[in-house]
Amino acid sequence: MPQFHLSLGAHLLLWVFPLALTTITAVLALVLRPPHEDAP
Amino acid sequence: MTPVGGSTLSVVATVMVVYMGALLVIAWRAARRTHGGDDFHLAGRSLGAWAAGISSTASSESGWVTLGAVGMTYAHGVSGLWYAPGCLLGYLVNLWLVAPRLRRLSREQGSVTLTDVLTSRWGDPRQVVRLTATTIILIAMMGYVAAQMTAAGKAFSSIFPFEGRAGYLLGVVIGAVVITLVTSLGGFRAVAWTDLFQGLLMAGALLALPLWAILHLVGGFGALVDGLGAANPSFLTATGDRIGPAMWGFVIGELGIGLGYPGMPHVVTRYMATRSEDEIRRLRVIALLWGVAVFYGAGLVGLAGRVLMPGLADGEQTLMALALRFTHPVIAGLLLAAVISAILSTVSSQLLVAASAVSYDLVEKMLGHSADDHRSLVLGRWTVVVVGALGILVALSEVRLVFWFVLFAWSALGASFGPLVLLAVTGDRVNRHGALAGMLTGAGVTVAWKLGRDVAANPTAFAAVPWAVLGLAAAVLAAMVLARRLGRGEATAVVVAAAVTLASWWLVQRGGLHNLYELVPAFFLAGAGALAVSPIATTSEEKKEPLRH
Repeated sequence: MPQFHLSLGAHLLLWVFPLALTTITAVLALVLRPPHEDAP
Repeated sequence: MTPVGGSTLSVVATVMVVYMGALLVIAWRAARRTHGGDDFHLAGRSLGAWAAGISSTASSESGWVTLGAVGMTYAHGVSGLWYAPGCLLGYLVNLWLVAPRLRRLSREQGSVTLTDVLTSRWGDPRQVVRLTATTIILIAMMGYVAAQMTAAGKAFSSIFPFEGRAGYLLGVVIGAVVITLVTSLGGFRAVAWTDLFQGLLMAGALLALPLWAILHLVGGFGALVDGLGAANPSFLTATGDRIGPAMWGFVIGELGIGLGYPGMPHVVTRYMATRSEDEIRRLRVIALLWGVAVFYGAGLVGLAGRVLMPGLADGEQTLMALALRFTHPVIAGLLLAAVISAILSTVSSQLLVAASAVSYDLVEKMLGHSADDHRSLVLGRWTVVVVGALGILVALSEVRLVFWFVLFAWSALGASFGPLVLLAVTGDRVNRHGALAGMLTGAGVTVAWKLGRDVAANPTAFAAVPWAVLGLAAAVLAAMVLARRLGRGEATAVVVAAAVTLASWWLVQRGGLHNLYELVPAFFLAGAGALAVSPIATTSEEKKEPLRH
């Protein structure tokens, strides 16, 4: 079977974007602590 | 579709019965905690991060994600994935901008529905904004509910080999009756809890199935890429075989799906029902990770299915075909339950929004029948039953229009309410006349653009569209005059919305633009209409007061 490769755009679309988004979200969630709780 | 043995079918059917039973048990537990109207319409603003987060996302991702999105990558390869960043960008805006502010605003106002938020935000002395919003929500939600019930029937009939339309009818009736019962019994709390259960089932299925299929059946990600490339080399690029305006129209249109999220009443009410700001912060992470799992999981199912089963007549059936051909019957039953979950979690939320629009916005607020808490609950319950029954009737009577209608409903809601929700939570640039113009423009441009795109295929049928727009605008103005609800501001809003709608009808038929998904122009024109009408229509009295009420 011949070897095929994803294009650069396909790499970005298929796994770079979701991985970056997941990582940034997880890091932000860990780093940003809530400054205050709601007033009752 | 897939020939499967009777024993497999009986195992799948048993799993389905257990799943439906679980929904009813959850609803019964929720019903025991539902004591009044506030509970029924907004779960007493008591939801935690998991229920609110997954309910908001599972409500927005309908049968479209387990059927349509899977079909996109099956048909187009990697370039079919553009819906995923589109939707996730919508999630980002909703989770970071809309969720905390809308929650705070609705608590300050004591608002229960999205219509309630908008009318309290800008004032609505003549009830024009409430009537317009309720009408758009009811029409869009009824279409949406019927579409999802149809999808449940299709999913059912593709698995269970009954004669003729019996499988379809059975799927529609079973799915619709169970979910109407769930929603009617437990209201918002039952919807949120069953959404959490179904959302976790969806995420689990859409993560496990493609990873297992790619690693175990295809032979790894390298083999997946080779298999896709051998099928069609354009499957391995980000834009496929599209070029020029078709490519740009496709990419912008797919990214534009995300514009719809802030305007979905069944999504943003979850933020209003969240217990605290702290829960909103946790909700963000839960909802976003769920979105990544579900959107990319669905895309990978389509890609794996393309390599494993290249000859499927309908790519939208890929998930069910993979499940029935390659997995144990119990797993296949769970995967089918996940497909049905995607559908029913959306139906329940939309049934509730439609019912709240009638029983709360129309009967309690507009007609002024301020029922006590118990009567409000009973009224809500019966409205759900009536709306659900209507949805079943529509679903049973017409099949083909359905998926066309879903995109219509998504755009109409997204364009009518999305810009207004964003404007409501970010400043004081708009007043009630602008809000009216925004809603009418969003709905009008959606319809005009959608029909305008199809005009080449059917020019005679659509020749009456401009006259219909003018006639409708004239009728609305006449009705407002007769009902004495017409002020200078309302008239300006109607005229501007009609003019923009006609302009968009003309614009879509110029070269190139017909490739663009209608939500994109409708959203931006609605926002521009709202911003433009607000200063024009402001009377001297309104200038003296601040716009915020």
